[in-house]
Amino acid sequence: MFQKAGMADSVIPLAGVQDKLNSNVLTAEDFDELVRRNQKRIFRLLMSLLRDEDAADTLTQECFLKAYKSRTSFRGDSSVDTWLYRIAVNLARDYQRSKRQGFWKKMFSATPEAEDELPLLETVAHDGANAEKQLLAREEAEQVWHVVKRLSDNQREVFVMRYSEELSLDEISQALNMQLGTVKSHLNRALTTVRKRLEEHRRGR
Amino acid sequence: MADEFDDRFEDKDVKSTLRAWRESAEKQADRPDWFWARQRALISSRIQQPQSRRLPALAWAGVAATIAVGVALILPGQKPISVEHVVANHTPTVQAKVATASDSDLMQEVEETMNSGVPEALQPASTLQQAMEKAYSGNTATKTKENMQ
Repeated sequence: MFQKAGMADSVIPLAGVQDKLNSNVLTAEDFDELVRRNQKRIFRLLMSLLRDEDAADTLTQECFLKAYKSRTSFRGDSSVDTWLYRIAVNLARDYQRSKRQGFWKKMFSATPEAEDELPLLETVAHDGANAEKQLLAREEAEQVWHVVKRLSDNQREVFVMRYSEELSLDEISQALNMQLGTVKSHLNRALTTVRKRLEEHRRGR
Repeated sequence: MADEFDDRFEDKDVKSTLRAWRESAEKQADRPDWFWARQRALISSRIQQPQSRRLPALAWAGVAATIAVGVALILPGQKPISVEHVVANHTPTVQAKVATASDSDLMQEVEETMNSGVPEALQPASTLQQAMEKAYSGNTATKTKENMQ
């Protein structure tokens, strides 16, 4: 399922763990293995959705705690990976809702306001392309981050799952518990916004 | 759906930008090994924490409940005291009045109280005041006589 380039830590399907979850015989070692194999993906998803390291770290922990607590209710309708994504996205939604209401600012008082603006330009890989291309790629990636930040919650979730986590539309549909058509619609709108922003950026160069 | 996702949107141009964006997302979430180890340790400790905290609390609650039941069983049983019983033992006059009072009696009683100079409840105080006044006036008369002599 997750045989994707650059995701070596998460490529092994957790068939064994899934069976154990279903039969409710998951040991501490099994669960630790599940955490080990998924924590990077969940953290990356939450970082892309929230752009807040402390929140992403805390919610990654919460995600696995929730998974552990509700392990008996895991029915195996979807894969463990999709199930974890769903828990993480729900936590991110709750976090954003609470943040809007101003509660989480108090809870995470150490979170500075400036974290919204993570250093984007340092984050693009240097793959040997020439300097101008690299600069262009960095600038455009930054434009995408700006768009992602302003998308609606649903559009952002679909976009991040598709282009950061490289999930299929079916997987996104399962993880978000959303109709396939709705997933496509959100993705289409998100992409249109990205394209528009990139065109404006290119015209302005 | 009119605005359903169309693969043509992912043309080469946008794809390369999205790839760059994905790499930046990956780099952004890149952390050293100690970070992941710490995170796993925290998850593990938080999974164990509630059980170890809840168990003593439950144990204490159980002990407290057992003691309470034990004390209740050991102590000699007493018949529950009814409210009527308490009223009959401690406020017989009130009870008698309440038992016999009718509306007309009550009205009459209120009228008498209003007509009398001092309310019934303050009558002892009024008697005491009269006695004090008498004693004071007696004293004053004696002192005046003494002064005149």
